[in-house]
Amino acid sequence: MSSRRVGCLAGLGLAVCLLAGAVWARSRILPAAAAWLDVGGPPQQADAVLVLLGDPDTRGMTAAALVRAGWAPRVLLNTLAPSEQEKRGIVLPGHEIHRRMLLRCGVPAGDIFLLDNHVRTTYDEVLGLADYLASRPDWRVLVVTEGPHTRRSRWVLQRVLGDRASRTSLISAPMDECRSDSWWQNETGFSFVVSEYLKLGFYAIRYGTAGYVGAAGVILVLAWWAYRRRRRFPAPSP
Amino acid sequence: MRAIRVKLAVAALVLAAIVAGHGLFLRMLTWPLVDEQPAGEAAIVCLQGSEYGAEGDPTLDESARLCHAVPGHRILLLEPWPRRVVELGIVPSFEQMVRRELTGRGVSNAAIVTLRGKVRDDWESARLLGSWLQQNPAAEVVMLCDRFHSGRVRYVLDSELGRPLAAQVRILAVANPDYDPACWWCSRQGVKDVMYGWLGLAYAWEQGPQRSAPLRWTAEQYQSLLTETYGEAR
Repeated sequence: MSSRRVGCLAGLGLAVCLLAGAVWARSRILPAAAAWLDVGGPPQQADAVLVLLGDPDTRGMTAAALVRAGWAPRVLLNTLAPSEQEKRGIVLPGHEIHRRMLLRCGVPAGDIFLLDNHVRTTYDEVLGLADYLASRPDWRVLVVTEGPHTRRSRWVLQRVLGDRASRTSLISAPMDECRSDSWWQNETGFSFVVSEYLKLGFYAIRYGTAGYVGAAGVILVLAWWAYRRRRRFPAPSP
Repeated sequence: MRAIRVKLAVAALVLAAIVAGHGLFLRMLTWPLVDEQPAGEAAIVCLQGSEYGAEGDPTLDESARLCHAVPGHRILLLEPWPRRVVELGIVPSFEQMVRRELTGRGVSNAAIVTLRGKVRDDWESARLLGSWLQQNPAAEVVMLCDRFHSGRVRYVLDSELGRPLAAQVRILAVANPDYDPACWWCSRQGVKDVMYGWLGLAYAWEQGPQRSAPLRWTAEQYQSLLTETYGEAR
């Protein structure tokens, strides 16, 4: 048997073993996959709570609970770029639903600050926060979102705020349907966790250096392949 | 040396084909996500959705158009599980929103019928619709849903109701007006819709009906949980 065929069989065997191992250990791997995404911690005394716009059922209520419990005196809300339905008045803008949720949960209207910036993404929201904090460099901010979204949010905070990111703390709002020990057993949890991994990859390419690193990796692999090929089939001497 | 040149030429051709035909390839990627049947003369329109909208504004426009086109029409609403924003009276319920919008488009309020069931997902929606179809065996229903969600809805209906009942339901896939579905990758919302469309379809194929009903806390339960976690007001 040629050495090449032996190499292929060994690679195939290793892949099968890895796959079998992953299936066997899935009850440990799957909870760990969700736990890795959740970098939220306990609240600390802060100057404001930033609610990342999303589900007001979880994020809005959690932000209100933090204010009511005295962890911060005010809430910051970015404003969303209006969708087609919002322009036609069929549904309320997302930030307005959050504002009403905060009011309903006992946060005084004077303690809710709308940042006029028309955001679309988590990245835009953190840029909005950076603008607001430019004249308040000593402020500490609690950033509220759901657990699986916290790792991407922290990545963006570190990228945009730099050293000042250490003055922010991520708070994981409890989720109804997405528990780290059973997220794959319902569709909401499955979509949330898997999409967060995909979005992390996208953010690393779009806003980070993963695209350049990937391209450099491809070039290196191609160069290595060409080098091996040249050694195996040297050009005939004239 | 000649063999290498031939290989390089083939690789260049493949690359050129990918660059030139990426649109076709990306459109093909959405084929399994879309499944619709002609609405025909179906006199009953079925809507499902959340409190934030009935899968988009064009769904409401399309429902009103179908109702005006077929005499004696009816609209069935599948009542979703009330979210906390609805429970707390912050936004109107799905039923209130659809009634307001459809009566504003000239549909009679009496023609709108709500099937009570507090459904939490497409599987529960299919069961609720199935029980109504068993009581109305001659009914032909057209179900309106988001374009990239329609393949999954068809799959769920066929799996949950079985052929004879499922055949009474046709799907009308309605495109999101915020982007062109033939160029979905040109828009952030399009990319998100296709991604979630695939995740939902893959989950439905792999898991079938949910193993356990998803947990939902009421506003009061959630409030208590938060107070327990973050402490009482100081």
